[in-house]
Amino acid sequence: MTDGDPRELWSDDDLDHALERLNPIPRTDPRTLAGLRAELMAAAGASAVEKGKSMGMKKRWIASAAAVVAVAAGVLVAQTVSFNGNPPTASAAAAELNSVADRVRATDPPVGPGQYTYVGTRAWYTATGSDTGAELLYAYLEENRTELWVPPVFEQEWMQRRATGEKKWIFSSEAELKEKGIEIPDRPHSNGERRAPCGDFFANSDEERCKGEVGWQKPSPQFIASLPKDAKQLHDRIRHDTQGRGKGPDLEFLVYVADFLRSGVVPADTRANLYRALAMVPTMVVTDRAANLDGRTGVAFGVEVDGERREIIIDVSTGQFIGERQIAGDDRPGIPEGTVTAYSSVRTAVVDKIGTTPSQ
Amino acid sequence: MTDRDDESLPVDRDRPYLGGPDVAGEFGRLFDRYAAPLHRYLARRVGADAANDLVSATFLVALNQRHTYDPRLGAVRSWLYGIATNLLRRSVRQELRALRAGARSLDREDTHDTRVVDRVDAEAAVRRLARSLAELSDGDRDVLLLTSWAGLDSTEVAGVLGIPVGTVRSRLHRVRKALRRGHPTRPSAREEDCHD
Repeated sequence: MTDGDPRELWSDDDLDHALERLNPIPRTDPRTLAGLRAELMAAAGASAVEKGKSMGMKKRWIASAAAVVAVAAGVLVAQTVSFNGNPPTASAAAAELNSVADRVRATDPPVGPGQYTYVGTRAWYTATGSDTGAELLYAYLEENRTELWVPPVFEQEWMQRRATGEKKWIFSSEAELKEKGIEIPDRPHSNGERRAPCGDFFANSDEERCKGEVGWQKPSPQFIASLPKDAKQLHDRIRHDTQGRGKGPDLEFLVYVADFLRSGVVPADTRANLYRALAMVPTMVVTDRAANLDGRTGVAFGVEVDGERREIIIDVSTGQFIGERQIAGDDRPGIPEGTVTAYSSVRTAVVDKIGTTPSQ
Repeated sequence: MTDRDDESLPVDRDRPYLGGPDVAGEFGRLFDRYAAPLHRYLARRVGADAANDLVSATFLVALNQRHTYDPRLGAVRSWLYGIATNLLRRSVRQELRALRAGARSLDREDTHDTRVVDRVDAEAAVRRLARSLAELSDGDRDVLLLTSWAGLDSTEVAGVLGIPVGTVRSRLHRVRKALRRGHPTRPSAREEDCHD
Protein backbone atom coordinates (compact mmCIF):
# COMPACT_ATOMS: atom_id res chain seq x y z
CA MET A 1 0.00 0.00 0.00
CA THR A 2 1.21 3.48 -0.64
CA ASP A 3 1.84 5.46 2.52
CA GLY A 4 1.09 8.73 0.80
CA ASP A 5 4.71 9.80 0.56
CA PRO A 6 4.74 12.38 -2.24
CA ARG A 7 8.18 11.22 -3.33
CA GLU A 8 6.66 7.92 -4.33
CA LEU A 9 5.64 7.79 -7.96
CA TRP A 10 4.11 4.35 -7.70
CA SER A 11 1.99 2.47 -5.22
CA ASP A 12 3.04 -1.08 -4.37
CA ASP A 13 0.37 -2.23 -6.75
CA ASP A 14 1.81 -0.15 -9.59
CA LEU A 15 5.25 -1.59 -8.92
CA ASP A 16 3.83 -5.11 -8.96
CA HIS A 17 2.08 -4.38 -12.21
CA ALA A 18 5.25 -3.12 -13.83
CA LEU A 19 7.11 -6.18 -12.53
CA GLU A 20 4.39 -8.36 -13.94
CA ARG A 21 4.74 -6.80 -17.36
CA LEU A 22 8.52 -6.80 -17.55
CA ASN A 23 9.98 -9.80 -19.41
CA PRO A 24 6.74 -11.75 -19.79
CA ILE A 25 6.94 -15.49 -19.39
CA PRO A 26 7.79 -17.02 -22.74
CA ARG A 27 5.90 -20.10 -23.80
CA THR A 28 7.57 -23.21 -22.51
CA ASP A 29 7.38 -25.98 -25.02
CA PRO A 30 6.58 -29.09 -22.95
CA ARG A 31 8.77 -31.07 -25.33
CA THR A 32 11.79 -29.03 -24.27
CA LEU A 33 11.18 -29.89 -20.63
CA ALA A 34 10.57 -33.52 -21.58
CA GLY A 35 13.99 -33.52 -23.21
CA LEU A 36 15.64 -32.03 -20.12
CA ARG A 37 13.85 -34.57 -17.94
CA ALA A 38 15.11 -37.41 -20.09
CA GLU A 39 18.68 -36.16 -19.67
CA LEU A 40 18.23 -36.00 -15.92
CA MET A 41 16.79 -39.50 -15.87
CA ALA A 42 19.71 -40.75 -17.90
CA ALA A 43 22.12 -39.16 -15.43
CA ALA A 44 20.16 -40.65 -12.53
CA GLY A 45 20.56 -44.08 -14.06
CA ALA A 46 16.96 -44.67 -14.97
CA SER A 47 16.18 -47.80 -16.93
CA ALA A 48 14.64 -45.95 -19.85
CA VAL A 49 17.99 -44.40 -20.60
CA GLU A 50 18.32 -45.13 -24.24
CA LYS A 51 14.91 -43.93 -25.25
CA GLY A 52 15.05 -40.93 -22.98
CA LYS A 53 18.53 -39.90 -23.97
CA SER A 54 17.99 -39.99 -27.69
CA MET A 55 14.81 -38.01 -27.28
CA GLY A 56 16.60 -35.53 -25.07
CA MET A 57 19.37 -34.95 -27.56
CA LYS A 58 16.97 -34.51 -30.39
CA LYS A 59 14.77 -32.04 -28.57
CA ARG A 60 17.73 -30.05 -27.39
CA TRP A 61 18.88 -29.77 -30.94
CA ILE A 62 15.44 -28.62 -32.00
CA ALA A 63 15.35 -26.09 -29.19
CA SER A 64 18.60 -24.42 -30.22
CA ALA A 65 17.93 -24.71 -33.91
CA ALA A 66 14.52 -23.13 -33.43
CA ALA A 67 16.12 -19.94 -32.21
CA VAL A 68 18.15 -19.67 -35.38
CA VAL A 69 15.29 -20.22 -37.81
CA ALA A 70 12.65 -18.45 -35.74
CA VAL A 71 12.72 -15.30 -37.80
CA ALA A 72 12.46 -17.08 -41.10
CA ALA A 73 10.06 -19.82 -40.14
CA GLY A 74 8.19 -18.40 -37.18
CA VAL A 75 4.90 -19.29 -38.77
CA LEU A 76 5.80 -22.92 -39.22
CA VAL A 77 6.99 -23.29 -35.64
CA ALA A 78 3.87 -21.69 -34.26
CA GLN A 79 1.53 -23.75 -36.36
CA THR A 80 3.24 -27.02 -35.59
CA VAL A 81 2.66 -26.40 -31.93
CA SER A 82 -0.95 -25.36 -32.37
CA PHE A 83 -1.96 -28.26 -34.54
CA ASN A 84 -0.19 -30.71 -32.26
CA GLY A 85 -2.27 -33.88 -32.34
CA ASN A 86 -5.58 -32.25 -33.13
CA PRO A 87 -6.95 -31.00 -36.37
CA PRO A 88 -8.07 -27.39 -36.19
CA THR A 89 -11.68 -27.27 -35.00
CA ALA A 90 -12.28 -23.57 -35.33
CA SER A 91 -13.66 -23.69 -38.85
CA ALA A 92 -16.98 -22.23 -37.74
CA ALA A 93 -15.26 -19.12 -36.43
CA ALA A 94 -13.14 -18.98 -39.57
CA ALA A 95 -16.17 -19.18 -41.85
CA GLU A 96 -17.92 -16.47 -39.85
CA LEU A 97 -14.88 -14.18 -39.94
CA ASN A 98 -14.54 -14.62 -43.68
CA SER A 99 -18.16 -13.71 -44.26
CA VAL A 100 -17.82 -10.73 -41.90
CA ALA A 101 -14.84 -9.62 -43.99
CA ASP A 102 -17.07 -9.69 -47.07
CA ARG A 103 -19.57 -7.47 -45.31
CA VAL A 104 -17.09 -4.72 -44.41
CA ARG A 105 -18.00 -1.72 -46.48
CA ALA A 106 -15.45 -1.11 -49.18
CA THR A 107 -14.60 2.37 -48.00
CA ASP A 108 -14.83 4.45 -44.83
CA PRO A 109 -16.68 7.73 -44.57
CA PRO A 110 -14.23 10.31 -45.96
CA VAL A 111 -12.43 12.69 -43.60
CA GLY A 112 -12.32 16.05 -45.33
CA PRO A 113 -9.79 18.83 -44.77
CA GLY A 114 -10.28 20.30 -41.30
CA GLN A 115 -12.29 17.30 -40.18
CA TYR A 116 -11.19 14.70 -37.62
CA THR A 117 -11.72 11.01 -36.97
CA TYR A 118 -13.20 10.68 -33.52
CA VAL A 119 -12.39 7.49 -31.57
CA GLY A 120 -14.29 7.16 -28.31
CA THR A 121 -13.41 4.29 -26.00
CA ARG A 122 -15.20 3.38 -22.82
CA ALA A 123 -13.14 0.78 -21.04
CA TRP A 124 -13.34 -1.02 -17.72
CA TYR A 125 -10.00 -2.14 -16.37
CA THR A 126 -9.30 -4.13 -13.24
CA ALA A 127 -7.39 -2.40 -10.48
CA THR A 128 -6.12 -4.57 -7.65
CA GLY A 129 -4.33 -4.01 -4.40
CA SER A 130 -2.35 -6.55 -2.45
CA ASP A 131 -0.54 -6.52 0.84
CA THR A 132 3.19 -7.16 0.86
CA GLY A 133 2.51 -10.87 1.24
CA ALA A 134 0.80 -10.69 -2.17
CA GLU A 135 -2.60 -11.51 -0.68
CA LEU A 136 -5.37 -9.77 -2.57
CA LEU A 137 -6.96 -6.93 -0.62
CA TYR A 138 -9.33 -5.60 -3.23
CA ALA A 139 -10.16 -5.69 -6.90
CA TYR A 140 -12.51 -3.52 -8.89
CA LEU A 141 -13.29 -2.56 -12.44
CA GLU A 142 -12.73 1.12 -13.07
CA GLU A 143 -14.28 3.04 -15.88
CA ASN A 144 -11.84 4.78 -18.21
CA ARG A 145 -13.13 7.02 -20.95
CA THR A 146 -10.68 8.00 -23.65
CA GLU A 147 -11.54 10.23 -26.58
CA LEU A 148 -9.16 10.74 -29.44
CA TRP A 149 -9.30 13.17 -32.35
CA VAL A 150 -7.16 12.06 -35.26
CA PRO A 151 -6.36 14.62 -37.97
CA PRO A 152 -6.53 13.65 -41.67
CA VAL A 153 -2.76 14.16 -41.90
CA PHE A 154 -0.85 12.09 -39.35
CA GLU A 155 1.72 14.82 -38.58
CA GLN A 156 -0.96 17.38 -37.73
CA GLU A 157 -2.16 18.00 -34.21
CA TRP A 158 -4.07 15.25 -32.42
CA MET A 159 -6.03 15.60 -29.22
CA GLN A 160 -6.76 13.19 -26.41
CA ARG A 161 -9.15 13.59 -23.51
CA ARG A 162 -9.27 11.12 -20.71
CA ALA A 163 -11.29 10.63 -17.57
CA THR A 164 -11.88 7.91 -15.02
CA GLY A 165 -15.31 7.25 -13.60
CA GLU A 166 -17.29 4.62 -11.77
CA LYS A 167 -16.01 1.56 -9.96
CA LYS A 168 -17.54 -1.92 -10.01
CA TRP A 169 -16.28 -4.07 -7.17
CA ILE A 170 -15.03 -7.59 -7.83
CA PHE A 171 -13.41 -8.33 -4.50
CA SER A 172 -14.05 -6.51 -1.20
CA SER A 173 -15.89 -3.17 -1.21
CA GLU A 174 -15.45 0.48 -0.34
CA ALA A 175 -17.17 -0.03 3.01
CA GLU A 176 -15.15 -3.10 3.89
CA LEU A 177 -11.86 -1.38 3.10
CA LYS A 178 -12.86 1.64 5.16
CA GLU A 179 -13.66 -0.62 8.06
CA LYS A 180 -10.24 -2.26 7.77
CA GLY A 181 -8.53 1.13 7.48
CA ILE A 182 -7.20 0.38 4.00
CA GLU A 183 -6.89 3.35 1.71
CA ILE A 184 -7.04 2.92 -2.04
CA PRO A 185 -4.03 4.70 -3.50
CA ASP A 186 -4.45 7.26 -6.25
CA ARG A 187 -3.65 5.80 -9.59
CA PRO A 188 -1.17 7.45 -11.93
CA HIS A 189 -3.91 8.25 -14.40
CA SER A 190 -3.22 10.70 -17.11
CA ASN A 191 -6.66 12.20 -16.92
CA GLY A 192 -7.20 15.47 -18.71
CA GLU A 193 -6.70 16.89 -22.15
CA ARG A 194 -3.56 17.00 -24.25
CA ARG A 195 -2.55 17.80 -27.82
CA ALA A 196 0.40 16.69 -29.90
CA PRO A 197 1.32 16.04 -33.53
CA CYS A 198 1.46 12.37 -34.55
CA GLY A 199 -0.48 11.51 -31.39
CA ASP A 200 2.81 11.51 -29.49
CA PHE A 201 1.22 12.83 -26.31
CA PHE A 202 3.78 11.39 -23.97
CA ALA A 203 7.02 12.17 -25.74
CA ASN A 204 9.66 13.55 -23.39
CA SER A 205 10.25 16.62 -25.52
CA ASP A 206 8.93 18.36 -28.64
CA GLU A 207 11.95 17.11 -30.58
CA GLU A 208 10.94 13.52 -29.91
CA ARG A 209 7.44 13.96 -31.27
CA CYS A 210 6.75 12.24 -34.58
CA LYS A 211 9.89 10.19 -34.04
CA GLY A 212 8.30 7.55 -31.83
CA GLU A 213 7.84 3.96 -32.86
CA VAL A 214 4.92 3.18 -35.09
CA GLY A 215 3.47 -0.27 -35.53
CA TRP A 216 0.49 -2.42 -34.63
CA GLN A 217 0.02 -0.53 -31.38
CA LYS A 218 0.39 2.86 -33.00
CA PRO A 219 -0.36 2.58 -36.68
CA SER A 220 0.74 5.40 -38.98
CA PRO A 221 -0.55 5.60 -42.55
CA GLN A 222 2.90 4.49 -43.73
CA PHE A 223 2.76 1.45 -41.48
CA ILE A 224 -0.73 0.55 -42.68
CA ALA A 225 0.31 1.01 -46.32
CA SER A 226 3.30 -1.27 -45.76
CA LEU A 227 1.14 -4.23 -44.70
CA PRO A 228 0.60 -7.08 -47.18
CA LYS A 229 -2.63 -6.87 -49.16
CA ASP A 230 -2.93 -10.64 -49.26
CA ALA A 231 -4.63 -12.17 -46.20
CA LYS A 232 -2.24 -15.11 -45.90
CA GLN A 233 0.75 -12.82 -46.11
CA LEU A 234 -0.83 -10.51 -43.55
CA HIS A 235 -1.35 -13.51 -41.28
CA ASP A 236 2.31 -14.47 -41.75
CA ARG A 237 3.42 -10.94 -40.98
CA ILE A 238 1.51 -10.92 -37.68
CA ARG A 239 2.93 -14.34 -36.81
CA HIS A 240 6.39 -12.97 -37.47
CA ASP A 241 5.86 -9.85 -35.38
CA THR A 242 4.37 -11.76 -32.42
CA GLN A 243 6.92 -14.57 -32.47
CA GLY A 244 8.02 -15.48 -28.95
CA ARG A 245 5.74 -12.96 -27.28
CA GLY A 246 2.93 -13.44 -24.82
CA LYS A 247 1.36 -16.57 -23.40
CA GLY A 248 0.78 -18.35 -26.67
CA PRO A 249 1.08 -17.68 -30.40
CA ASP A 250 -2.64 -17.60 -31.16
CA LEU A 251 -3.45 -15.49 -28.12
CA GLU A 252 -0.73 -12.99 -28.97
CA PHE A 253 -1.98 -12.90 -32.56
CA LEU A 254 -5.38 -11.82 -31.29
CA VAL A 255 -3.80 -9.31 -28.89
CA TYR A 256 -1.97 -7.61 -31.76
CA VAL A 257 -5.10 -7.56 -33.89
CA ALA A 258 -7.00 -6.00 -30.96
CA ASP A 259 -4.25 -3.42 -30.42
CA PHE A 260 -4.44 -2.50 -34.07
CA LEU A 261 -8.24 -2.30 -34.24
CA ARG A 262 -8.45 -0.38 -30.96
CA SER A 263 -6.54 2.47 -32.57
CA GLY A 264 -9.71 3.25 -34.51
CA VAL A 265 -7.78 4.25 -37.63
CA VAL A 266 -7.63 0.94 -39.52
CA PRO A 267 -9.17 1.52 -42.96
CA ALA A 268 -12.00 -0.68 -44.22
CA ASP A 269 -9.99 -2.72 -46.73
CA THR A 270 -7.24 -3.45 -44.19
CA ARG A 271 -9.88 -4.38 -41.61
CA ALA A 272 -11.50 -6.87 -43.97
CA ASN A 273 -8.10 -8.35 -44.72
CA LEU A 274 -7.36 -8.55 -41.02
CA TYR A 275 -10.52 -10.57 -40.38
CA ARG A 276 -9.48 -13.00 -43.12
CA ALA A 277 -6.02 -13.31 -41.54
CA LEU A 278 -7.67 -13.89 -38.17
CA ALA A 279 -9.74 -16.68 -39.72
CA MET A 280 -6.47 -18.60 -40.25
CA VAL A 281 -5.75 -18.75 -36.53
CA PRO A 282 -6.48 -22.36 -35.60
CA THR A 283 -7.61 -21.99 -31.98
CA MET A 284 -9.85 -18.99 -32.61
CA VAL A 285 -13.45 -19.77 -31.66
CA VAL A 286 -16.77 -17.96 -31.39
CA THR A 287 -17.07 -17.59 -27.62
CA ASP A 288 -20.28 -15.59 -27.37
CA ARG A 289 -22.89 -14.89 -30.02
CA ALA A 290 -24.32 -11.92 -28.11
CA ALA A 291 -21.52 -10.24 -26.21
CA ASN A 292 -22.81 -7.08 -24.61
CA LEU A 293 -20.47 -4.12 -24.18
CA ASP A 294 -22.28 -1.30 -22.45
CA GLY A 295 -25.36 -1.95 -24.51
CA ARG A 296 -23.69 -2.68 -27.83
CA THR A 297 -23.82 -6.32 -28.82
CA GLY A 298 -21.75 -8.33 -31.24
CA VAL A 299 -20.15 -11.71 -31.80
CA ALA A 300 -17.11 -12.46 -29.66
CA PHE A 301 -14.14 -14.20 -31.27
CA GLY A 302 -11.74 -15.49 -28.66
CA VAL A 303 -8.59 -17.42 -27.88
CA GLU A 304 -8.02 -19.14 -24.58
CA VAL A 305 -4.75 -20.11 -22.92
CA ASP A 306 -4.73 -21.76 -19.49
CA GLY A 307 -8.28 -20.60 -18.84
CA GLU A 308 -7.46 -16.99 -19.61
CA ARG A 309 -9.42 -15.69 -22.55
CA ARG A 310 -9.15 -12.68 -24.80
CA GLU A 311 -11.90 -11.71 -27.19
CA ILE A 312 -12.60 -9.15 -29.82
CA ILE A 313 -16.20 -8.30 -30.50
CA ILE A 314 -17.44 -7.54 -33.97
CA ASP A 315 -20.78 -6.34 -35.27
CA VAL A 316 -21.14 -9.10 -37.84
CA SER A 317 -23.75 -7.24 -39.87
CA THR A 318 -21.36 -4.37 -40.70
CA GLY A 319 -17.94 -5.79 -39.86
CA GLN A 320 -17.40 -2.95 -37.40
CA PHE A 321 -15.04 -3.68 -34.51
CA ILE A 322 -16.96 -2.70 -31.38
CA GLY A 323 -14.70 -3.72 -28.54
CA GLU A 324 -12.97 -6.41 -26.54
CA ARG A 325 -13.08 -8.46 -23.37
CA GLN A 326 -10.63 -10.25 -21.14
CA ILE A 327 -11.61 -13.14 -18.89
CA ALA A 328 -9.47 -14.41 -16.02
CA GLY A 329 -8.02 -17.90 -15.83
CA ASP A 330 -7.29 -19.61 -12.54
CA ASP A 331 -3.95 -17.91 -11.98
CA ARG A 332 -5.11 -14.68 -10.36
CA PRO A 333 -5.20 -14.93 -6.59
CA GLY A 334 -8.60 -14.01 -5.17
CA ILE A 335 -10.25 -13.54 -8.56
CA PRO A 336 -12.48 -16.45 -9.58
CA GLU A 337 -11.81 -18.09 -12.91
CA GLY A 338 -14.19 -16.76 -15.53
CA THR A 339 -14.36 -13.24 -14.08
CA VAL A 340 -14.41 -10.53 -16.73
CA THR A 341 -11.33 -8.51 -15.80
CA ALA A 342 -11.51 -5.97 -18.59
CA TYR A 343 -13.83 -4.91 -21.35
CA SER A 344 -14.14 -1.94 -23.60
CA SER A 345 -16.30 -0.59 -26.36
CA VAL A 346 -15.12 1.71 -29.08
CA ARG A 347 -16.95 3.87 -31.58
CA THR A 348 -15.61 5.98 -34.38
CA ALA A 349 -17.11 8.89 -36.28
CA VAL A 350 -16.08 11.84 -38.41
CA VAL A 351 -16.42 15.22 -36.68
CA ASP A 352 -15.99 18.76 -37.97
CA LYS A 353 -13.83 20.15 -35.18
CA ILE A 354 -11.15 18.94 -32.81
CA GLY A 355 -12.65 18.36 -29.37
CA THR A 356 -16.27 17.99 -30.49
CA THR A 357 -18.18 14.82 -29.72
CA PRO A 358 -20.44 13.18 -32.30
CA SER A 359 -24.10 12.85 -31.44
CA GLN A 360 -24.94 9.39 -30.09
CA MET B 1 4.96 -35.38 -17.46
CA THR B 2 2.80 -37.07 -14.89
CA ASP B 3 1.02 -35.53 -11.96
CA ARG B 4 1.57 -37.59 -8.86
CA ASP B 5 -0.24 -37.47 -5.58
CA ASP B 6 2.84 -35.80 -4.06
CA GLU B 7 1.41 -32.66 -5.67
CA SER B 8 -0.88 -32.36 -2.69
CA LEU B 9 2.05 -32.01 -0.29
CA PRO B 10 2.52 -28.35 0.62
CA VAL B 11 5.73 -26.94 -0.78
CA ASP B 12 7.15 -26.02 2.62
CA ARG B 13 6.70 -29.60 3.83
CA ASP B 14 8.19 -31.10 0.72
CA ARG B 15 11.43 -32.17 2.36
CA PRO B 16 12.26 -35.52 0.84
CA TYR B 17 15.15 -37.77 1.80
CA LEU B 18 17.30 -37.73 -1.31
CA GLY B 19 19.83 -40.32 -0.21
CA GLY B 20 17.56 -43.28 -0.95
CA PRO B 21 18.04 -45.95 -3.58
CA ASP B 22 15.31 -44.75 -5.98
CA VAL B 23 17.32 -41.82 -7.28
CA ALA B 24 15.60 -41.67 -10.66
CA GLY B 25 12.15 -41.92 -9.09
CA GLU B 26 12.78 -39.16 -6.56
CA PHE B 27 14.45 -36.82 -9.05
CA GLY B 28 11.78 -37.54 -11.62
CA ARG B 29 9.21 -36.39 -9.09
CA LEU B 30 11.23 -33.28 -8.21
CA PHE B 31 11.59 -32.43 -11.86
CA ASP B 32 7.89 -32.89 -12.55
CA ARG B 33 6.93 -30.67 -9.68
CA TYR B 34 9.54 -27.93 -9.87
CA ALA B 35 11.09 -27.76 -13.33
CA ALA B 36 8.28 -25.91 -15.11
CA PRO B 37 7.92 -23.07 -12.55
CA LEU B 38 11.70 -22.84 -12.23
CA HIS B 39 11.95 -22.59 -16.00
CA ARG B 40 9.36 -19.81 -16.11
CA TYR B 41 11.25 -17.85 -13.47
CA LEU B 42 14.64 -18.28 -15.14
CA ALA B 43 13.23 -17.52 -18.58
CA ARG B 44 11.99 -14.16 -17.31
CA ARG B 45 15.44 -13.39 -16.02
CA VAL B 46 17.69 -14.57 -18.83
CA GLY B 47 15.44 -15.70 -21.70
CA ALA B 48 14.03 -19.09 -22.65
CA ASP B 49 17.14 -20.56 -24.27
CA ALA B 50 19.46 -19.79 -21.36
CA ALA B 51 16.72 -21.03 -19.01
CA ASN B 52 16.77 -24.46 -20.70
CA ASP B 53 20.45 -24.80 -19.88
CA LEU B 54 20.03 -23.46 -16.35
CA VAL B 55 17.17 -25.83 -15.52
CA SER B 56 19.18 -28.74 -16.86
CA ALA B 57 22.27 -27.69 -14.89
CA THR B 58 20.26 -27.08 -11.70
CA PHE B 59 18.87 -30.60 -11.63
CA LEU B 60 22.19 -32.20 -12.58
CA VAL B 61 23.96 -30.27 -9.79
CA ALA B 62 21.17 -31.26 -7.39
CA LEU B 63 21.56 -34.88 -8.42
CA ASN B 64 25.32 -34.81 -7.84
CA GLN B 65 24.99 -32.96 -4.55
CA ARG B 66 21.91 -34.80 -3.28
CA HIS B 67 23.74 -35.95 -0.15
CA THR B 68 24.28 -32.34 0.92
CA TYR B 69 20.54 -31.62 1.09
CA ASP B 70 19.37 -31.66 4.70
CA PRO B 71 15.57 -31.85 4.91
CA ARG B 72 15.65 -30.50 8.47
CA LEU B 73 17.09 -27.21 7.28
CA GLY B 74 14.61 -26.31 4.59
CA ALA B 75 12.18 -27.33 1.89
CA VAL B 76 13.59 -28.88 -1.25
CA ARG B 77 12.24 -26.03 -3.38
CA SER B 78 14.48 -23.50 -1.59
CA TRP B 79 17.44 -25.80 -2.08
CA LEU B 80 16.76 -26.13 -5.82
CA TYR B 81 16.25 -22.38 -6.26
CA GLY B 82 19.45 -21.82 -4.30
CA ILE B 83 21.39 -23.94 -6.78
CA ALA B 84 19.68 -22.15 -9.68
CA THR B 85 20.47 -18.74 -8.15
CA ASN B 86 24.17 -19.61 -7.92
CA LEU B 87 24.19 -20.79 -11.52
CA LEU B 88 22.26 -17.71 -12.59
CA ARG B 89 25.03 -15.45 -11.29
CA ARG B 90 27.16 -16.64 -14.19
CA SER B 91 24.60 -15.16 -16.56
CA VAL B 92 24.28 -11.90 -14.67
CA ARG B 93 26.07 -9.83 -17.28
CA GLN B 94 23.71 -11.06 -19.95
CA GLU B 95 20.75 -10.23 -17.73
CA LEU B 96 22.05 -6.74 -16.98
CA ARG B 97 22.68 -5.97 -20.62
CA ALA B 98 19.09 -6.82 -21.45
CA LEU B 99 17.74 -4.78 -18.55
CA ARG B 100 19.84 -1.73 -19.41
CA ALA B 101 18.63 -1.88 -22.96
CA GLY B 102 15.13 -1.46 -21.56
CA ALA B 103 12.83 -4.39 -21.23
CA ARG B 104 13.65 -7.55 -23.18
CA SER B 105 10.04 -7.57 -24.16
CA LEU B 106 6.94 -6.06 -22.73
CA ASP B 107 3.86 -7.94 -21.82
CA ARG B 108 1.65 -6.33 -24.40
CA GLU B 109 -1.07 -8.77 -23.67
CA ASP B 110 -1.65 -7.39 -20.24
CA THR B 111 -2.02 -3.80 -21.26
CA HIS B 112 -5.72 -4.05 -21.80
CA ASP B 113 -5.96 -4.90 -18.15
CA THR B 114 -3.67 -2.30 -16.70
CA ARG B 115 -4.60 0.74 -14.68
CA VAL B 116 -1.86 2.76 -16.28
CA VAL B 117 -4.14 2.73 -19.23
CA ASP B 118 -2.00 4.55 -21.65
CA ARG B 119 0.33 2.16 -23.39
CA VAL B 120 3.01 4.76 -23.88
CA ASP B 121 2.97 5.60 -20.18
CA ALA B 122 2.94 1.97 -19.21
CA GLU B 123 5.75 0.95 -21.51
CA ALA B 124 7.92 3.81 -20.36
CA ALA B 125 7.26 2.77 -16.77
CA VAL B 126 8.29 -0.82 -17.45
CA ARG B 127 11.44 0.31 -19.24
CA ARG B 128 12.29 2.55 -16.34
CA LEU B 129 11.79 -0.38 -13.99
CA ALA B 130 14.10 -2.52 -16.14
CA ARG B 131 16.86 0.07 -15.93
CA SER B 132 16.36 0.41 -12.17
CA LEU B 133 16.62 -3.37 -11.74
CA ALA B 134 19.96 -3.29 -13.52
CA GLU B 135 21.23 -0.81 -10.91
CA LEU B 136 20.38 -3.07 -7.97
CA SER B 137 22.99 -5.24 -6.31
CA ASP B 138 22.76 -8.92 -7.24
CA GLY B 139 21.45 -9.78 -3.78
CA ASP B 140 18.75 -7.11 -3.89
CA ARG B 141 17.62 -8.17 -7.35
CA ASP B 142 17.47 -11.81 -6.25
CA VAL B 143 15.32 -10.99 -3.23
CA LEU B 144 12.91 -8.91 -5.29
CA LEU B 145 12.56 -11.31 -8.21
CA LEU B 146 12.51 -14.52 -6.17
CA THR B 147 9.56 -12.94 -4.37
CA SER B 148 7.82 -11.32 -7.29
CA TRP B 149 8.54 -13.64 -10.21
CA ALA B 150 9.22 -16.98 -8.52
CA GLY B 151 6.50 -16.42 -5.91
CA LEU B 152 8.60 -17.53 -2.94
CA ASP B 153 7.84 -16.24 0.55
CA SER B 154 10.41 -14.54 2.79
CA THR B 155 11.32 -17.75 4.61
CA GLU B 156 11.97 -19.55 1.35
CA VAL B 157 13.99 -16.65 -0.06
CA ALA B 158 16.06 -16.70 3.12
CA GLY B 159 16.67 -20.41 2.53
CA VAL B 160 17.60 -19.83 -1.10
CA LEU B 161 20.12 -17.11 -0.35
CA GLY B 162 21.32 -18.42 3.01
CA ILE B 163 20.55 -15.19 4.87
CA PRO B 164 18.28 -14.47 7.88
CA VAL B 165 14.59 -14.01 7.13
CA GLY B 166 14.65 -10.58 8.81
CA THR B 167 17.26 -9.42 6.33
CA VAL B 168 15.10 -10.64 3.45
CA ARG B 169 12.13 -8.62 4.73
CA SER B 170 14.05 -5.40 5.33
CA ARG B 171 15.86 -5.72 2.03
CA LEU B 172 12.62 -6.26 0.19
CA HIS B 173 11.06 -3.27 1.91
CA ARG B 174 13.97 -1.01 1.05
CA VAL B 175 14.21 -2.14 -2.56
CA ARG B 176 10.49 -1.79 -3.20
CA LYS B 177 10.39 1.64 -1.62
CA ALA B 178 13.26 2.85 -3.76
CA LEU B 179 11.74 1.44 -6.93
CA ARG B 180 8.45 3.12 -6.13
CA ARG B 181 10.29 6.41 -5.87
CA GLY B 182 11.75 5.76 -9.28
CA HIS B 183 15.39 5.70 -8.37
CA PRO B 184 17.50 2.66 -7.72
CA THR B 185 18.80 1.87 -4.30
CA ARG B 186 22.38 1.84 -3.38
CA PRO B 187 23.45 -1.25 -1.52
CA SER B 188 24.34 -0.47 2.05
CA ALA B 189 26.41 -2.31 4.58
CA ARG B 190 23.53 -2.57 7.01
CA GLU B 191 19.88 -2.77 6.11
CA GLU B 192 19.09 -0.46 9.04
CA ASP B 193 21.08 2.34 7.44
CA CYS B 194 18.84 2.69 4.51
CA HIS B 195 16.54 5.48 5.53
CA ASP B 196 17.40 8.53 3.53
